[in-house]
Amino acid sequence: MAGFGENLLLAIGMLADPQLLVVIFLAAVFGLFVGAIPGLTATMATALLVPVTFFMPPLAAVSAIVACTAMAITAGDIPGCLIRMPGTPASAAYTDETYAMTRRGLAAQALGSSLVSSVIGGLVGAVVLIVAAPILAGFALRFSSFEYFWLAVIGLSCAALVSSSDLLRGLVALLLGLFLSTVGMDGVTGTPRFDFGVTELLGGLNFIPIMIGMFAVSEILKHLASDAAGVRVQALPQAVGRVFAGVWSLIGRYRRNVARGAATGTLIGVLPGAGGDLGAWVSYAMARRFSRTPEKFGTGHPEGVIEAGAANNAALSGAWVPALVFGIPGDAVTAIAVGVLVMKGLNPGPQLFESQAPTLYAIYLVFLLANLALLPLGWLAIRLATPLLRIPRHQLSAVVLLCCVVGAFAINNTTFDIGVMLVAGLVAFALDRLGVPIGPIILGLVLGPMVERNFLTSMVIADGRFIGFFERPLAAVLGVAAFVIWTLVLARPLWMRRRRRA
Amino acid sequence: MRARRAERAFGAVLAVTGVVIARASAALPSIPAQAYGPGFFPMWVGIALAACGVLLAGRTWWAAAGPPVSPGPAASSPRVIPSWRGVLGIAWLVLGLGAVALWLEVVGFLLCMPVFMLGYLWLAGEPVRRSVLTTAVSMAVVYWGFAKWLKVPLPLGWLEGLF
Repeated sequence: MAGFGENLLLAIGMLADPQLLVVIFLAAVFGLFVGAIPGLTATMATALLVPVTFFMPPLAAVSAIVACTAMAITAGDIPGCLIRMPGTPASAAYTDETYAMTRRGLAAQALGSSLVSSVIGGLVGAVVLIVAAPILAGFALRFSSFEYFWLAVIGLSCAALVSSSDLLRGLVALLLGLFLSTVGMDGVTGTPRFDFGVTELLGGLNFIPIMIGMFAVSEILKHLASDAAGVRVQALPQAVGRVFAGVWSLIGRYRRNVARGAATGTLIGVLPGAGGDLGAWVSYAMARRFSRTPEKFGTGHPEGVIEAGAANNAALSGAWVPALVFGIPGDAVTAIAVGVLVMKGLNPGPQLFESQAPTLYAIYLVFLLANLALLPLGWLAIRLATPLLRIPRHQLSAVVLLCCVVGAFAINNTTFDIGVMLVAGLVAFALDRLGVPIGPIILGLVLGPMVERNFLTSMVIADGRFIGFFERPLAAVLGVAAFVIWTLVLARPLWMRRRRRA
Repeated sequence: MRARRAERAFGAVLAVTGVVIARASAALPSIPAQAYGPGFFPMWVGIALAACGVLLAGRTWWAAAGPPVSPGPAASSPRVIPSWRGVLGIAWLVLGLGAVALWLEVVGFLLCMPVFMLGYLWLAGEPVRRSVLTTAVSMAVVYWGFAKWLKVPLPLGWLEGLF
């Protein structure tokens, strides 16, 4: 096995490919564009990008996803700040604050400070990924199917718990995803399941058309239903001035917030199912909680914007730690990325760190590069924000729908997947109306085969005894942890009710 | 009241779906000489889904005196009645994409998609000239990018032989 220096040199060599750099640049511009359009999320940008990555080499495909999501999350701040319409759910956490800054004539400061803190947060998250992932991977080499089963159960549990304010709805979403993962021939015995005699379903449901439908088609349906699709920006409140003027001193003044936001974001990112959206909300709340001037929050105060900005980009990198080490995605974007890695023959797991070390090092470097590139590209996006926000929404939706159709078709070159995409879009639209989160469905769909395969393998090894799942010390710890999580979750409402009565 | 009814109906649909999944899974053959097989995992998923459905529907009765527990954001928000353009847009999107899925191979990508896009933009009340321009440019870019550059065999249908 090559050493650190050799792997790093190989990775730099891989990254020096001009074609790869062009791919990263184009994906970043695409991410900036999608993120800056209100209502189009970072997940949607990734979903639309995946069909194109299908035709790329593995490193270029992963790099494109990394660059695109980092840019989309950051660009989501622009419409939130200028017209009070957050570009991504993560930006929604501090949209009112940035918009209040805009009304005070501080739009450039709001966007500049958010951009710089995002870059710092993203870099911290990337460094944690670079340091923590190989250590965890070395540890994970000792894992058997028992440990993987419990890890997947804990991951799925967290996804259900944190994805929605309502546990039951999160759980429903997760179970629907797990059910969808069982469609097609069973991986162990080859028995067809839930195929309804449709030949195309024998191979299982491809997650890409489902994802495009759930994140892109349903979003357009949502806009049409809420009649918000016709919203056009007539005039921006003010032109954005010098983006970085006074920002560095502001970042220096709130350096603790940057550090806390980056740490919180990374930790939340590592938690399966949470991701950048939750990271931004939690960090903004924490900034207010620990602020010396909490009364200034909501009046156009940059403290919370800086902390939450650092958190959402740090969470993006953090989410890749469990995805690369265990194949357990941290959020919907990394769930898509895990699918792409598998599609490219780079099965996530500790073995990946031995067999594909140079590629992994190159991915790490892409994280650093993408976050550094945020500065010039983010600056450019802010300067171009005015014409970007004037694009009529319906024209954009029509083009997105065209990309959806081609993207769904291109995976297997079959129109059946266009139908799957449409059905997935309708289901997601209906579920959204009922308050059911969509993220856990994708996590369930991606993690389902892993849970089932490891469960059946473990059952065979344990000769059908469930106690066998607790016989290895590490498996026992993880199993007990899973039970403790669920016991606490289920016992809490009963305890609260008893306390209220008392 | 509306939120509670929606929650009840949703819970009932989930419960029935869960039972159907569990029953269908239980009917699958098990691994020889083992008590479990390909039906084991989906059976438990079905049972859990049915339980969630019962809990969702049930908690609306338990909390009958007060508001429903944690209603979904859409269910609890005031009813938004989409404009007729919105309704037509949804109908066109659903039926149009369904038609594209059915006839793309026969009619061809270059005929199907412009009709779908122009219809969508016309129903949305977009200016004709701008809509034609958007459709023409995006079709050219997407067709060139995917069919010519990435070699995706986008069906030509009736135009087969012309390109």
